[in-house]
Amino acid sequence: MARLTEQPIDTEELLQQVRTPAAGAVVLFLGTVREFTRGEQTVALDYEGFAPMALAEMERIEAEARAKWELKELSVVHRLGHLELGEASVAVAVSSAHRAAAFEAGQFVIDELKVRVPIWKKENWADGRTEWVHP
Amino acid sequence: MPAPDSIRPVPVDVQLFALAKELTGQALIQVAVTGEPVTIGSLRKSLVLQFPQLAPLEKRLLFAVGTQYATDDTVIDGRQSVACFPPVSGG
Repeated sequence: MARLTEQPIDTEELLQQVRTPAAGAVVLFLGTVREFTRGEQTVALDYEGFAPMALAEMERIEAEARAKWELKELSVVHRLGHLELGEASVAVAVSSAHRAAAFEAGQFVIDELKVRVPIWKKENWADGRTEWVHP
Repeated sequence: MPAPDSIRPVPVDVQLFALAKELTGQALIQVAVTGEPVTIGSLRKSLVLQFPQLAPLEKRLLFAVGTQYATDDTVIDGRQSVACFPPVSGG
């Protein structure tokens, strides 16, 4: 399941979505707002997304992960809007019968999300400047 | 004699995001695109001529038709929903 939200990500809810007696492994990845990037200090991030395409792309990534690995459940959520230091911007939860599939699929989903899903972050630097991040 | 359709510019509405939106100050722009056929590649060229603020991003701009990435070869007719944005940085 793929979702966008402007509210704080509820990791407990996400874990409940993927927990099942059929699974022997649950992996949760969180991407969080980091204070320092290459020595520059961040106070907050603003995320903007092209929502319909971001969701479609997240669903395509989920389908690819399910085709590559034998997964029980997969849930991915990205937050949009204004985030303070330490808050989670993205979460991926995966369950599988054995741990290898859940670890590998979780890594695949976050790696693909970062290069494909149309969402952008804007740095709010400690000195007051703002800057769109475009790798 | 009227000009053939192929050289008449096609108006294409383009949704902009992130830095592309900030540089133009607009979330939705209309670009007159000429080409035979009209493609994302010809849109890219017309876009930076008509919105020179976007020229520094020209080579790196990404395009989508509907909710799918498009390439410079993708043919458009002005009726689809087109989006244009810089490289993504989510996560």
